[in-house]
Amino acid sequence: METFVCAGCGRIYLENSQRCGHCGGDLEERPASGRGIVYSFSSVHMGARGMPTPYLLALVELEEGGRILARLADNDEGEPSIGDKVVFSGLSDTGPVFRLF
Amino acid sequence: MRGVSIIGVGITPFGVRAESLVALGAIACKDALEDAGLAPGRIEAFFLGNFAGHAFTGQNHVAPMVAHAAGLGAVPCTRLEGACASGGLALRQGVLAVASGQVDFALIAGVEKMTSAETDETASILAAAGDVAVEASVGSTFPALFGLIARRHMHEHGTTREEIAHVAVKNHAHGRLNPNAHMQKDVTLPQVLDARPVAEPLGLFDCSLISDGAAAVVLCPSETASAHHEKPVEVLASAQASDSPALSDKRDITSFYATQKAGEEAFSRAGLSREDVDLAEIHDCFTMAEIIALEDLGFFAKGEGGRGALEGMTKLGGAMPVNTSGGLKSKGHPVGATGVAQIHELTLQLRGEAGARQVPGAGVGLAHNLGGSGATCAVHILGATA
Ligand SMILES: [Zn+2]
Repeated sequence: METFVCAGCGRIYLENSQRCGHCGGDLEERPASGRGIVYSFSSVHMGARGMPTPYLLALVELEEGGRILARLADNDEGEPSIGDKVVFSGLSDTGPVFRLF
Repeated sequence: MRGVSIIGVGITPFGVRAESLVALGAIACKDALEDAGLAPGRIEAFFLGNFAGHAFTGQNHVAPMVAHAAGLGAVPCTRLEGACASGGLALRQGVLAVASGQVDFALIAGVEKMTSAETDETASILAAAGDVAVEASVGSTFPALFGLIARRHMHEHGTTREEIAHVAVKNHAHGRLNPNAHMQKDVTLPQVLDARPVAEPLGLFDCSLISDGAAAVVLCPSETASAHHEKPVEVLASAQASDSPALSDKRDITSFYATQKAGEEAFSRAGLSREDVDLAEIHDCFTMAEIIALEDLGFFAKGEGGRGALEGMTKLGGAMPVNTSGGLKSKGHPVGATGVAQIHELTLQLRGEAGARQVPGAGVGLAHNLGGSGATCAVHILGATA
């Protein structure tokens, strides 16, 4: 997993857009393991327009520091818990997706 | 700077309303002017809180339209947008305009017309009050953000699902006593706990209502206020603060930094402590939000906010009743109107005119108005005439 971290505000990006879309700061490449933990999560039953429900959203805290909001892939274990280990599984139309591991 | 007082308040009933956005705003304005005994021509500045007139109804540039419909003539009209805190921002600009000596009479209104849009469209419009690039684009909605916040608060501070649900039970019990409330009926604890999930752990009864409505307030200098109303209510403090809306930018998602800052400033400006507050209107866009605000404002220690509703301290008859109007939960949440409607409720209470939901001897009231997931916060403290 590649991450690009804004030198200005610390936002984490998964694609290199050269400049931070939030503050305009320079993005610095930072290697990342793709691993993190579930900082918080919610199963969303009444979702955004056009998105099939329910889906799991998680605020993921990356091993290298910093948090990103992401989708959690469907899994067989049911509901996750705060602190569960997750790993980056790819970018979808709706941004980053992580899965429990 | 001179003291500023409220000499008139107006409101429309909240709910599904047939009137247009502009008509709702004008009705509340006329109501407030009548309460103040002022002709519309006396108003020198108009500030309107409105979040998403265009997205909900197709109409922007609504401040001069409401002013025209209310007969205000050529007064300067300014629309304020700060998501769910739009009304609080409008009030603050009115307070500053009168305090500075620039104008003697300011009219403030807040309005939103939401019920003509479909539910999923409404969710998308509201989601734009958050950081669309990193939240809405990932599939986040406002209930989802507060679901994440609630889950973390429960994890870190031991807040229970029952404590959170009790906020809904309490605010519905209050709203039942408010003839202007959108939902004037009780809900039970099992109803809240067993309701359809929206964004877990939050269910349908943890969410505020999608409503149409408007509210308005007339301000003038405190020194002349008693000439216009027999019970003027003084604005003891007006404070506002900001933060990033994105949860991923916040060090701690179980508090809102903007509330903490605005609250501290408001208490310091008013020269009052938490114990001096007799009642509060707190921004309960979600049940969890009321608990967090009570902690952030210093009424409860961190993690203890859930006790307020559970143990009855924030209920009518308790030590500091919170959301006697029914709050956003039961009175309804026409986004741009909310911050002004809070002032309407406190004014009635501080005048002793709140009827069945009157807090006996109410002398000091606090209004907390939060925008989105905490990017904007306005806090006002009001005092009754001695
Ligand atoms: Zn940046």
